[in-house]
Amino acid sequence: MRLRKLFAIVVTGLCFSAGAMAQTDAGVPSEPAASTKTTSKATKKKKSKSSKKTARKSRKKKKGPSSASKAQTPEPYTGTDDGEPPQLAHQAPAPGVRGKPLNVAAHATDANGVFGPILYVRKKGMGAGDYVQLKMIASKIVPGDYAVDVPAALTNVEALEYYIEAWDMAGNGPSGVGSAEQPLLVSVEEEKKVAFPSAPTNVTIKPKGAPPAITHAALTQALRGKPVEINARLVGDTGVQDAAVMFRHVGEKDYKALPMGNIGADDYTATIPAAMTTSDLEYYVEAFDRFGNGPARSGAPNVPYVLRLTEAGPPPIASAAAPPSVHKRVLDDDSDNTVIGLGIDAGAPGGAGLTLLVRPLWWLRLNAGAAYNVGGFGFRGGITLAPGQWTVTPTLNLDGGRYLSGDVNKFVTVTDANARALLGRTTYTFATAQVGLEFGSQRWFTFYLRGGLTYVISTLSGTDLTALAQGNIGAGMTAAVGDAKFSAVVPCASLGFNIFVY
Amino acid sequence: MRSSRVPALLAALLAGCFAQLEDQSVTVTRPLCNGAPCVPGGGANLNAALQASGYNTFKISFGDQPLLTSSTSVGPATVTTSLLLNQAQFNMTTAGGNFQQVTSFTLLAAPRMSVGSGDDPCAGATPACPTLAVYTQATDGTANQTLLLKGNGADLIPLINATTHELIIEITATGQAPSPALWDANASMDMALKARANLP
Repeated sequence: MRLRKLFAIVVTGLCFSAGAMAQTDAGVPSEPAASTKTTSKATKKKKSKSSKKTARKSRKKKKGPSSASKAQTPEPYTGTDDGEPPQLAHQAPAPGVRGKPLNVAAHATDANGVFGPILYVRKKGMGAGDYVQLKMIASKIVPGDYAVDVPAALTNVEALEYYIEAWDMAGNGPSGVGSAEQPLLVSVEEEKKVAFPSAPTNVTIKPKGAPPAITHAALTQALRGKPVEINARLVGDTGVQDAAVMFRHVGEKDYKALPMGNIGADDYTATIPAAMTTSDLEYYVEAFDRFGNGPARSGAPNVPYVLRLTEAGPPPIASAAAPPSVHKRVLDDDSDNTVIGLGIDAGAPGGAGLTLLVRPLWWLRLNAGAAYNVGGFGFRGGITLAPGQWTVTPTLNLDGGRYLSGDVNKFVTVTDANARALLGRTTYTFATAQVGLEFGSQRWFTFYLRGGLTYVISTLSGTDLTALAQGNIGAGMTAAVGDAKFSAVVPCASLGFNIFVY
Repeated sequence: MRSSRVPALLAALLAGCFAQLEDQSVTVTRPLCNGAPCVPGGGANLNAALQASGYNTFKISFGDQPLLTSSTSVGPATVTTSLLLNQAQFNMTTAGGNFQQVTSFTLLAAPRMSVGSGDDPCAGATPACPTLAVYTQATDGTANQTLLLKGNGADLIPLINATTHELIIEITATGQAPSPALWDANASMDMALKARANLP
């Protein structure tokens, strides 16, 4: 029983992880303003990217529609811009059934035509950066009606949180129902076993089936003159059909279609031939279900992924052999990490510290700064290993430092003048190993709790010790004491926060 | 299973916690005589001269120093202390005197002070007086102004009187006493102190 539960938890976690990996590519790039939506994932670099995307979109407006796009492909907007975002209405769905697709519908209208809407969904309680994005599909029956099925793989949870955003074809928006910070909640229940099927009391008229959900880690770099393999995971309750990579050279007008083949389970792949990798490419991935619903896209004709081709260097970033989590991390290295920050902490027996943080790698932080323990001041430095960038991230911390001054008399009551003199000059060196949990965004702000062991070593002055011993020794005797070494390994704990500013 | 490993791991980590103070050289020195030279010499049998005069024993008074107890509880921790004798030394302070005729020189921890007239507190003592340091001319070479005795690593803490904080030391020797009729020397003991508190 426990194994089954554990398995279910692992599968759910993997599903959400996979969804989180896709959040930067499953739809957002196709939305002119989606990447400017403020989320925890947003960074200055992302904003910069967004601007570039908008610029590309503008260029494409001038170039006109793409003839290689499918019939259902929204063409770049060339009409009059009313300046208004679309009107978006949404009725909360009924509680979902665990392990079954959950249909979410909305109604959106705009004089310029609606682009989107996009459903952002996550497991209840997960971080702001963990939304999975699903493009809602227009109804073929009721104009303005849009719907999408949250894949069954994502509904093995207690509840889902979601919000919806939509733009118009001129890029105005987004209009929203809910938000990343204040999402709507829909519970997901166990499937009820009923002996006699009963006729549904409410009949929802909607198109049969839904386009597949696409999970794809965008490639950003590859080698010139080498074939480029593009992979995606396509999940659809009503099958997958006409999956393709649409690509073109930068500057070209038309996309070429490269069919994707199924390589097992929900994984699809296509390889751009070496003969085509002569200059930078733009591409997107699209697919339909077997009823023709779609296309679902990762990237879009007007906002494609840009694949830079280099003469030499590393293999394609986010290559097929690497797992999605690796893709995500590599992408983070390139674009999302903040590297400079400030840390403030306090604890026992280490005291308080104010440190400068530098993050040369996404999983490695260096710190150095000042330390204070009421008795005196010192300096310290260390490293932190954070093997993830989650809302709650475990860490391993190794620190060391030295207190250059210290008056222990503040903590103990000693009347002997020689003892007071000795305790008034307590300097020590320390090394600390701690494990901890950090809460918040690894990129911007985290609060943390840590615990571990600290090693302290101090040298006590022989002169002070001689005076102390001489004061107590018998008459007629003299004492001479050499420097003494004090060392200790004791438990330690600390709390604090990190703020990354750049 | 997993829940029982965490406390076990924490316990193992805490079991490694300690605080320790080490001093490799703590030296106390005192003269054998209080004032003018007092120990009989004149080239007589050294051991007989010492026992006859009662100068075959002397006291080292450590005073009420912190940590000089074998075991002390401090909160949840127990502090254990050792005071190991590295070496002992006698420095001649009388002009013209030396230890060249001393064949062997041994320091013992005695149960009481000698009363003179041939009194030997360690003779027949039960338990036997522990040997603290030894000089042997045959192996250590001929001494001159300084008589250096090698410590055997005895822990002095249990030998120090807990009330008076004194250690009584008896000298047994062979060979001849220094040539001056009365002589004096500074006796010093070099020790290593180690106090360690382990968490329970």
